[in-house]
Amino acid sequence: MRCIYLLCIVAASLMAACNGNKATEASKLPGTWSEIETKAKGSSITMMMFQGDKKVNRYMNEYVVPQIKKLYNIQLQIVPGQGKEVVGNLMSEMEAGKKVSEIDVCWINGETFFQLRQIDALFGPYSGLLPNSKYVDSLNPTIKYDFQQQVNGYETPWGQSLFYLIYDSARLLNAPVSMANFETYFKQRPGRFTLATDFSGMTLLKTWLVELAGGMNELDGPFNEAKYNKYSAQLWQWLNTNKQYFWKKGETFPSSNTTVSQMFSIGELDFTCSFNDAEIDNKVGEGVYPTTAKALILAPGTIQNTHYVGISANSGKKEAAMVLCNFLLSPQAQARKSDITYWGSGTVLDLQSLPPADRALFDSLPKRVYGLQNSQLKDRAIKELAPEYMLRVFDDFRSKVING
Amino acid sequence: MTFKPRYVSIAVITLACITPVLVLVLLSLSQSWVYPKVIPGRLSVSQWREAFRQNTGIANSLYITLLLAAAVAVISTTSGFICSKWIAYHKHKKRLLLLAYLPFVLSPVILAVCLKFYFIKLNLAGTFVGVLLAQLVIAFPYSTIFFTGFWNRQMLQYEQLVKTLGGSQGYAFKMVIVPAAKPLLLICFFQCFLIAWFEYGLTSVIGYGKVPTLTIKVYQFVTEANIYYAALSCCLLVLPPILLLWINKRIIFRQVK
Amino acid sequence: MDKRWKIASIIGLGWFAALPLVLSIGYALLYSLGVIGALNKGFTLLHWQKLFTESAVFGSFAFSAYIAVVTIVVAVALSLTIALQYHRHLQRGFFSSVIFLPMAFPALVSAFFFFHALSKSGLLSRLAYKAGIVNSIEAFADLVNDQWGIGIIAAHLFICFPFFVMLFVNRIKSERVGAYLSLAKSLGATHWQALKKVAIPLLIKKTLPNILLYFIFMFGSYEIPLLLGRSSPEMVSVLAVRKLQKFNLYHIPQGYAVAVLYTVFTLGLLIIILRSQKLDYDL
Repeated sequence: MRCIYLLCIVAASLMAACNGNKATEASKLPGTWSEIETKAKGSSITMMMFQGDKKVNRYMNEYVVPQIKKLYNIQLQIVPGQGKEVVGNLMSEMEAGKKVSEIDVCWINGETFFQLRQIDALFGPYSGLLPNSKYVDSLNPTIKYDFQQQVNGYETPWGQSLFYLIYDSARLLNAPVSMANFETYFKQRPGRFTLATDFSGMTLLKTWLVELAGGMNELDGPFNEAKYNKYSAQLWQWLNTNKQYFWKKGETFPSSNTTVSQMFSIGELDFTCSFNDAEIDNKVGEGVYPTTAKALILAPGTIQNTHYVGISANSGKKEAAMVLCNFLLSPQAQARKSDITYWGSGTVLDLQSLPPADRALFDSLPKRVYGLQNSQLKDRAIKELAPEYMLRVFDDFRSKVING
Repeated sequence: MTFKPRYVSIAVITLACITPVLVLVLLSLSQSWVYPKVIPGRLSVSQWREAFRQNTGIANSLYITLLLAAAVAVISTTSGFICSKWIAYHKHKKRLLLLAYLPFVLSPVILAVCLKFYFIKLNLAGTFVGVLLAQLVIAFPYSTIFFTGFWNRQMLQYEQLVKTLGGSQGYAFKMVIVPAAKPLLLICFFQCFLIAWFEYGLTSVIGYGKVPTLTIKVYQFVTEANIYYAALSCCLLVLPPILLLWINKRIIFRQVK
Repeated sequence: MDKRWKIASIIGLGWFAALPLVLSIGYALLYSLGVIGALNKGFTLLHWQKLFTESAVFGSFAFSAYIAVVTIVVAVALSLTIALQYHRHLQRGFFSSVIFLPMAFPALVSAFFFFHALSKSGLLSRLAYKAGIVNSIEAFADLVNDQWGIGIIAAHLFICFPFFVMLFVNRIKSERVGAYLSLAKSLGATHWQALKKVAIPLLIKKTLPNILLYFIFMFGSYEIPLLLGRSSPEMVSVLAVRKLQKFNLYHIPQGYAVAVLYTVFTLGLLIIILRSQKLDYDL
């Protein structure tokens, strides 16, 4: 038994030793971009990102990884991890006082950006230093502000997304748009609706929160506790009354929207949702969705946001990370990303500012056939709410609806 | 022919054991499985070829998993064999064995999230060595427990006999003990190999996803709803142990967690 | 020489077995008490208080115990039947190989298969549709992500029953159950009586520690409930990991508190098992 006491002492001293030492300041970057590029050559970097989408993975594995290797001799390893894993890992590293992070680049936005800034885990400001940042549509408020937060150069815009629902117009002749419509629909077709407990489902909840608040103006601006409490209480009550008509009687919810989309494709559910403008075209092309699949914008509008890439404050390869960010912003990489056969997300570049040859890359892309049409979108885009709304909705949906 | 319930139940059990293997193999060869078709469609081997040729990382995973499992098996079998001897003959055998049971019965994923801090501290998180060490935390105690049964009075007597006849301890070890333990060593090797081969929780948490073993790959394909590649990776996980089972039933004819 | 090896062995065991445990529980405890952690502000019992007011935590422990008990009861019943009734088929031939196939399945693969076998769009549902038992996809019963954890139990059962078969087959040999059975029969017992009164109680008693150990394994299961479970109640490992990777960083200490609670529970159970029974070291 004495061994155990000894072990306890060792453990306690190890833990004591581990406390307190914060990460030191990052090493100084070289001055000019060409110096940065030179220093970046031959590095290996790790990018943590959401890997729940086949097309996104294809874009990364078949285009970005080989290109960055070919152009800059940078070895890029991609590891899976959504926002919460990025935050969790970077936070654990800071708690352990690790000087050089295992993660160099991460795909972030909204509440993840908020949390990473909260724990000071992001490197910056740097995005203004990237040569390709001159093409960014920087006047666009949805790019300049990430969930109503000033970006201030701590993340590089990567792509634009719109949130919308997908339904099969052959199955549903009158798709519900407002919450009142949904109540009628739930009763008519019970068991055929659900939402995921990931960011997609939570964005749907936020859209409904906006509807309950009577429009975006009420919730615009910094987080307002009183308003949140007022409208979210109505939302939870509405969900709790209606969840009996949800998939599996609302007693369980899928953990990811990928599952929801799968169930939609086999006809088990009437709706799925998406952040990817090209999702319907992609999936119709693969034969997964019927050609009658259509995009649906809810009554309050479509939440529009930008996704970004950030560099961790303790990355040991900041130069290579910046070169990667710059590459991701290049017209070539952005055009490929907008290609509906790859990823199909909206570009963050201002096409008018591009040289004609680069603009032609975008003009020659195949057009959407089934997905959101520009006519549908006119004046329907709404801003993201402040990040605290997302965090609170995440928490409260679990405690008030799932466990409630 | 008379109806024998015994044969019916045997047939049912057999079917239940074989179906999963067949379904996994079929799904891995398929590219479409639309409801309500029972048999997956568009069967061809091209998917397997693609999986190894293209940038899917499956081949790399197979290689990493093999290396990892072999290293875990070699280290834990040898060290567990030696360590168990001293524990088996120790006067506090029971208490020491309790120690060995500790990490082995805890949920690996919970152990991993609590240990992650130290692995980060030691710069081991996200590295092959880190994952190897983490797996040893399970495999080594397993192997120690496994061998304690081997060290009985008879073994002790053999060893003493060699000593009385003038042989050194090293000689006794090489000529008597290891040959006697050979089948057990082999079994333990494969058991530890399988522990590492099957591991998911520790590897995903300590490895950050940077050590992409096959189980990590399966989970990744499942989350992107790529059931055909997921099934293919499942086959790579399942077929080698089946082959071993078929070659030598005794190897797996013992429990592993 | 001897002495040195002995000390090295014990240190090795301490280093690889005891130290990780002490370190992990120490870290989790300190974190849950707010002593360490980037966003913690010093010692507090608040996280533990919150934990005890949250019914989800107790629900999760109860659900884990339920899954483990049901799986083990069914697995023991099934494998005892196979070991006692079909032992002749286990000696050689096709059946004797096939029955151990599930041992080649990691938990994750078993979960993956059972999802595609039992879900509404799964194999069973398709067969039922073909056979005309159901006429639409919704009509098929909920077998995964279901209230009773049927999918979770099935996936666990699949990978664990061969172990129990093996355990019982070995024990039937080592405990000379055959001899007892013929003795009972020669004393006038029917086959069923001999099984019920002699063989089954003897085997259960002899294997109880192994069965209880299996209970602990099953209790901490992660991959299977992760893929086949519901949002609530979750099994303990799933709950702990979710709380640790929560969007709300201020809830992380609660996750560590769950981890501590789980570890204490498991250790207590393990000590009881090892104390009360002479555990057979033959794993």
